[in-house]
Amino acid sequence: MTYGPVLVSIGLASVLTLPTLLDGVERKLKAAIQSRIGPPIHQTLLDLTKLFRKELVLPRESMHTLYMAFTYLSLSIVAISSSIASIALGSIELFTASVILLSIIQAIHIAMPFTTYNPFSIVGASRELVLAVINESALLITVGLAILVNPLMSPPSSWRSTYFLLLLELLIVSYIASGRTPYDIAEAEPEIASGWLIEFSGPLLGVIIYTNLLRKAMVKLIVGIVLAGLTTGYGSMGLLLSLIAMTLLWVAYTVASTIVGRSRVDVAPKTMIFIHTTFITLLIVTHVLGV
Amino acid sequence: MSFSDIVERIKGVRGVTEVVTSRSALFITATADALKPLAMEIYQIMGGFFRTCIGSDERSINNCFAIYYIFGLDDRGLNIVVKVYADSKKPELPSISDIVPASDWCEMEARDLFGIEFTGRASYRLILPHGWPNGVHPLRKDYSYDSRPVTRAVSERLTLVDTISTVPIGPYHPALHEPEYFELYIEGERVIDVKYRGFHVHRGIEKLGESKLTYQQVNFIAERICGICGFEHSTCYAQVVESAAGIEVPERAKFIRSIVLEIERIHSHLLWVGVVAHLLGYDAGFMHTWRIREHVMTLAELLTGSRKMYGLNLIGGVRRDIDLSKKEKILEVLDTISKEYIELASLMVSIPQVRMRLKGSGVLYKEDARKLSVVGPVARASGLRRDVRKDLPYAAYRYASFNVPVYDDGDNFSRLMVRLDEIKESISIVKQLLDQMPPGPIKVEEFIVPEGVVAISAVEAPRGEDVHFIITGHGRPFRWRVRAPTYQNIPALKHMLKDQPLADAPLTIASIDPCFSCTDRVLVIDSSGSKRTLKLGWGLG
Amino acid sequence: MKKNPLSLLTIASSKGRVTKRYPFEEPLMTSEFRGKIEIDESKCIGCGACVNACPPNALELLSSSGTKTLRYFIGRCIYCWRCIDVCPVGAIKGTREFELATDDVSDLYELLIHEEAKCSVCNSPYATVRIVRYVATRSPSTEGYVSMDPKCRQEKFVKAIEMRFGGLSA
Ligand code: SF4
Ligand code: SF4
Repeated sequence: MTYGPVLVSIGLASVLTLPTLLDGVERKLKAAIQSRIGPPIHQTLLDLTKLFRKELVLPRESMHTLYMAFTYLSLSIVAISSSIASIALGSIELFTASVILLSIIQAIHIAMPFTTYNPFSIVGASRELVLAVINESALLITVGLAILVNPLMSPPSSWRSTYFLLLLELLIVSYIASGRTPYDIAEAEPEIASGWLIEFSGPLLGVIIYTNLLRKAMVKLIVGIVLAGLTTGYGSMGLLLSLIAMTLLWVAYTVASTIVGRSRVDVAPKTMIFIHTTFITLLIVTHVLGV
Repeated sequence: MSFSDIVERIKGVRGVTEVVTSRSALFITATADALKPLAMEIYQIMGGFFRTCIGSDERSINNCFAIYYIFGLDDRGLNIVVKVYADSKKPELPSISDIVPASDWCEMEARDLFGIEFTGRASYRLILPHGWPNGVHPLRKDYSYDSRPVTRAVSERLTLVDTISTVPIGPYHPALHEPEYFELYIEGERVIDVKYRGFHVHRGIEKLGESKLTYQQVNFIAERICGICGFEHSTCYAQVVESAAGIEVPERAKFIRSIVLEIERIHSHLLWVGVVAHLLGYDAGFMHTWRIREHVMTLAELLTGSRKMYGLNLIGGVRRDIDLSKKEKILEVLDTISKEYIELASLMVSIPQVRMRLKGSGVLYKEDARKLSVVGPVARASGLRRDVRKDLPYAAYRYASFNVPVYDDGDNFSRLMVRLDEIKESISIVKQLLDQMPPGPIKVEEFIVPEGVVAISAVEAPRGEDVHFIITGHGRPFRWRVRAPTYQNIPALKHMLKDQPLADAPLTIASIDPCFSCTDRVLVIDSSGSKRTLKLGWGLG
Repeated sequence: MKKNPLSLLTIASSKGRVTKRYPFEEPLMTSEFRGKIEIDESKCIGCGACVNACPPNALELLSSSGTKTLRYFIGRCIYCWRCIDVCPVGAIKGTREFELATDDVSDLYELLIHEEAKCSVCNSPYATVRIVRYVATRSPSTEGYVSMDPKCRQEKFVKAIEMRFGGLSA
């Protein structure tokens, strides 16, 4: 497979740039649903360029934030590359590794505000923590099951209901992990916890925003990869399908999040536990029964 | 209880020295000893509400300070004003806040601004900043408008209790974007107590009032008390002066006032619905409500010349007429918005998160609402049927038939429903009034305002009743006091936030539709105490 | 009317986009909009009626040697048009202008300088030349008095009365 590296590079290049544009699409789409003109599609790119041109300001008393931001960025790039490579080359080991990395990235994402000493970001982050613990466990279990039912990343001979359930649960997990309403409670109650990004500015904010976009892309990409593994199998078609799935999911999630409100911080975990346990139980049962 | 019974009962209280009756008010002068029994009689036995109390420096006239307490018997459309004198050297009066909890703030306001002490209660600084020197009372007549006392900035972190966590909200923009400061004490995610510090935007308009403003000019400043419902303030001010001077405003002007007041209510409620949607993370609802509201804003501009700050009122009438083409435009806009907003309202109520988070949160029980004499939609959502438009009809409201929506649950959802229903009623009121509008002039040009007359006026603003109180002076008010609705409603927040999840706090704060700059307002416009003979008898308002 | 969250999409598509590409498109404004005022230099007589009516003190009448200046400070103006209501000669006109932001505060001042009339007796300034002319053309019978400041006018009047009643100081 000599074209493997080429394929991976192409995939990687698109997955590193697409998110900024997809974010622009998200903003434009939101605006359309809200009867506004909205910013141009490349607005996120403009925002990032502007942030990178500003001076570096670190949150009070904190160098940790800087280290963490860069760990966050580099780990995200590694994770997203290995997931791209996994579907291009059909390596379930790389896929496993990328999902584990994703969990670590989520952990850093939550830990970062704690380095800032700002009560508001800490309130925001502790809320996110509760959600993440539940959602990440669900993610790991579901991906584990995905690996179990399709270890070769190639299409099965016949479809079983397990596959549908698997994709559905993955969709839910990834939707929640992408931090949208009703589960964007880190950003909740705008005046009490003005979002956990409150302490960041300049290039540091740029890095964090960009990495967040990568993370959001990654959680959608995983769904695409599992889907591709089950339909087209690995290789160039698989890679293409995962990227298309990622794009479509981005659009679908945008619409979904625009038409609902935000859940309350103490209600959200309860509804999540309910949904996840139902789905995972069903998944295991159907898998064991082989239907 | 008949009217004469009321008068008899009041006359029966020991220490009542004078009772003057007029069309819509009962003016009582009493000694300090009679204050508590009177409060008991009116507030507890007759079931009156408390509107506010007003300090006044009348040393130049009768060598005394005075306090005016305004009660309202809403069900019979009667205001009861109790005037009590306080000594000029050592002004001190018994506090009635134990009988009338709603009087807590206005007593502290009189203490800050006039130096009148209230015995039998804990005193604290309400209005003046902590760095303000002691013993300097800016509303006293011997305090000149341009003196600036030396103040030093003092940190105002309210209480630091180590055992529980404190979440500060504000001072920049809690809920609505205005400067107020709340300190929530929380255990886990429950709020166990709340402290409030406001009055950061005291705008010192008294300076202008004392040096420059005339009766007509004050009107434009009055409109600027509130950035959302300013027209209610300017109407209320115009009415209070008209009532003091006995000016008969032309009927057509009254109709125009009512129509514009309702248009302002529609835009204000839509604004609030949008803000609540935003707080619930439902930004699409926010944008669409404001899209609908935009029609109303443009309409307001067409009728008055400005989207906001209409500048329509003068003492004696209004400045712009509503002609046929404008009437048609109003009807057209009302048709569009009534369709669109009903559609959007039912959509919003269908959003699961919106319903779930509003139902059962921020409950204000009827007894607490009554004790604090809360006003407006907050009162009506807690089962109190109070609406100045019905209770003390002004402008042209007596010509329209409308419902006063009342809900009994006292939660955030009820407050949403009250406002949604009121938009419907407002649309219908405007249509009815447009149909019946009589021809004729729209203002009285010539009039004189006699000195030393006391008058009160109330207007139902979107947030509740506005009360303006005036003692007329020479060319400008001698004493002008404004009581904005939020002033009456903020103390109720304590009850609404207690034992509720922290996550609901911003929503609950927003649910009273607070207007902090209204509350902080201008405080007062007083004239300088130049030599003049002022007999402070009761004016018949 | 029963609705579900999805019906937002129908509402949105039926309404289209309502925001404007301001400042590249016309602002939303009605014919009734009150904007900045314009004072007609040729008509104003410097009487100060508008100054007395203006609520926020945006109009001021400043005296200096030989001139009286009517100063309009847009920065304070609340566009209430009260000045237009009270001007006796209709010198003020309302416009629909509202895009008045500037980085130079002097752009926000408009000055109208009036020559001051001197009292024909004591030579002290008392009104603008134009007011004097205005009063004189309106009521020619005052001509004998209008050229004096109020103090001299009063004195002249008192003298005239005294003369009529056979006063001593004739
Ligand atoms: S009122 Fe008219 S004439 Fe008098 S100063 Fe003003 S603009 Fe000039
Ligand atoms: S429009 Fe109003 S504020 Fe402006 S100058 Fe005229 S009177 Fe003064």
